[in-house]
Amino acid sequence: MTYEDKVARFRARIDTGEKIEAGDWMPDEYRQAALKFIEMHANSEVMGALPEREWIPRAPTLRRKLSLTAKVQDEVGHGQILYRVAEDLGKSREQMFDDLVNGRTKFHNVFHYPTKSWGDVAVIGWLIDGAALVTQKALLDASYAPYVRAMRRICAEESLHLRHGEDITLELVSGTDAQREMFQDAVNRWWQPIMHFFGPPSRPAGDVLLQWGIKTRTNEDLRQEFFSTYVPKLWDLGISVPDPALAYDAAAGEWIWSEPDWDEFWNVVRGNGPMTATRLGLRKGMWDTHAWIREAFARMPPKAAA
Amino acid sequence: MEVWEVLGKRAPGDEWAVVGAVKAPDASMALLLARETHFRHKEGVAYAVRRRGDAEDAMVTGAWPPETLGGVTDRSYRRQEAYAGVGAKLKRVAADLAARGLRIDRPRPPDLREGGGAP
Amino acid sequence: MRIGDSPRLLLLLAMADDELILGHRHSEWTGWVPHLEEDLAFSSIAQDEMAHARLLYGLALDSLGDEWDEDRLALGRPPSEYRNAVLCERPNRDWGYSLARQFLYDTADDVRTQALLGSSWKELTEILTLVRMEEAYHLDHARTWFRRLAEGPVAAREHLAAGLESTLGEALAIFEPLPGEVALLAAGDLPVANSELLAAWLAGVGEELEAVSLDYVLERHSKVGDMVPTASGEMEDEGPTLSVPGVERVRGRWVHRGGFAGAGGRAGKHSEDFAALWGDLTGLYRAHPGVTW
Repeated sequence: MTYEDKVARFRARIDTGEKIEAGDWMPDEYRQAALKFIEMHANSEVMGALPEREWIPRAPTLRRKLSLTAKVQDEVGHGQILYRVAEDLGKSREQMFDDLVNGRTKFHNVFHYPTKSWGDVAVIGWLIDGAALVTQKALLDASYAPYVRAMRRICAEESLHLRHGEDITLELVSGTDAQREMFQDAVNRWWQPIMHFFGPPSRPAGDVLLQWGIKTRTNEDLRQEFFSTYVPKLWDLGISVPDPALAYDAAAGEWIWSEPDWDEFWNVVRGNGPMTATRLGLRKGMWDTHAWIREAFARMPPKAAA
Repeated sequence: MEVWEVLGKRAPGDEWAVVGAVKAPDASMALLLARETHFRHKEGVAYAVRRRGDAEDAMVTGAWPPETLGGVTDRSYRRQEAYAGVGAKLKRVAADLAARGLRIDRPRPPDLREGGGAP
Repeated sequence: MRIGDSPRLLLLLAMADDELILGHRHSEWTGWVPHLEEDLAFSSIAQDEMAHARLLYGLALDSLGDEWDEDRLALGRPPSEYRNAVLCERPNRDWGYSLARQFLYDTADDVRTQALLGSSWKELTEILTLVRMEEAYHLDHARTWFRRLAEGPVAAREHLAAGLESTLGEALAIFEPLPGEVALLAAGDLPVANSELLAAWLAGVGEELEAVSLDYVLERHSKVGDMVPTASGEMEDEGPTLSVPGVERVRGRWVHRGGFAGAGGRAGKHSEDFAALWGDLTGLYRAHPGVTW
């Protein structure tokens, strides 16, 4: 069988909804596309931990301090799960981490921005996790089975985070004027990054990830779902969205919205976001100064206790 | 450093199932870590690790008894039950804010209820 | 309004504040521990400590007025009313430091809570029974890492040893006698004096360090009268700073020599590192009194 024949057979498997396992034969293009996608997802989980962990020391109640710690713990856990899946596609975790902290690979745009207040914790926990959950639920139908299994656990935990974020939001919007303002201000600052998060409207024909079934829905489709899920709730809570054009067009059955500045999006994911250098610098510092731990782990096990 | 598969049993009568993997230098570190990577949300009653590539029965079982997995003090903040009332809370808050004239009254998609529920 | 200073309350606050403040420091590792799976394990330990603090604060609330609640206790006191040992408030530095601190603190806490299981204060023994079930994992964690680093490559041993040297003196101060200790001993609330607890802990840690030839860190501490730095310019100066006993090896056993003098964390006297921690920990809570979050 020629390579092309094998690829065609493989494509037929995917088109009928069959799932691919780690040990299956796969075209190089599929392996590389899946690896890159999952690696970026893993990178995003560990980089996403950085803005949120800033508020663990400063949480305003003991209970929120605990729940925020647990939430960030889960994000790190998601990174651990996803790096494992990516490793089995052929790249070591050490190499992936080294590439990340040295700026050679990417992570989602939203994690390149600073946090300013507890309002940001609410927005991250509710709207950004909400946006992530919309995209992650779509991945439950992906063609690569180990990724699907990882996504099941991740989606279950993200659903809990969403409730936690919603709970924090509700306390703010039903609280003092200062608390309402804290949340509204955060929404105003985070709205464009959230719009960017779904990516530019893309042509399905040109989307390699869609073709291989690694992604299953278009960017625009997911963004529309996000609008429908969250904008009515924001409006019910008296919170405005800083896009004057945002409106639901009943005739068209879709949301009209202002396209954000996509140049900023590309600039950010290429490593020029407001907090990119700082956060990667922190991770790189930690990585470089703790090589001695990796060395300690690489050695033969210690002698059994006497 | 090696990959250690993590196995668990959800309920006492179950067979061992692979639930994930950790990277660790030896069995004792793998067990130490596996307890929190895969069982901190009370996902099981027993756990074990097995170095990848070893024989199927070469697993090393974790010593912690089932009631300690996932902690014994209050962990409600990281369980669904603690947030079971959030959907209702959103409705209440929305109703209250509407009464205060703060609701933003603009056209929305028809299939969502007024006041919204959790997704 | 000051919180008051009954011996029982100060016993609770000493332990609860140790757990809260150290839990706070441990939680500052969440998200960037050098090994991914260890990040998860250490975060659970951080959450445990804060959960233990919560249980102890809950018991303290039984004897406080209605104006006190869990958050006001945890986040609403001025610095001089926090009774944690200074060891707990130090910044995390690197993994060698933090791991050494976790090892010394949790072995000390084990000695303390074990003894308190014999307390005449039943509600406290119930809480500590629960707490010890979780602390057992902390000990497993500390010893597993201790073994791997102590018996690992030179760099690993050196980082562990450096961490132990930096933390040992302040670890002794976990056993600074409590204000009201005499009354607590008389009532049976505290079954064993802190000086005896210190002796038991030191003997045990000494053996563990000797087993891996790291007991030289104890030798380096041996001079009497090591000062535990306290009191930045912002804190009221209420007397001499704490000095801890020296240690020495007598007939094959590590013991302390001399006693504590002056006042440290148990008397509400903190180091120059406490102010920044307190600002982070309590700032948002105090900026909006009376609101819910």
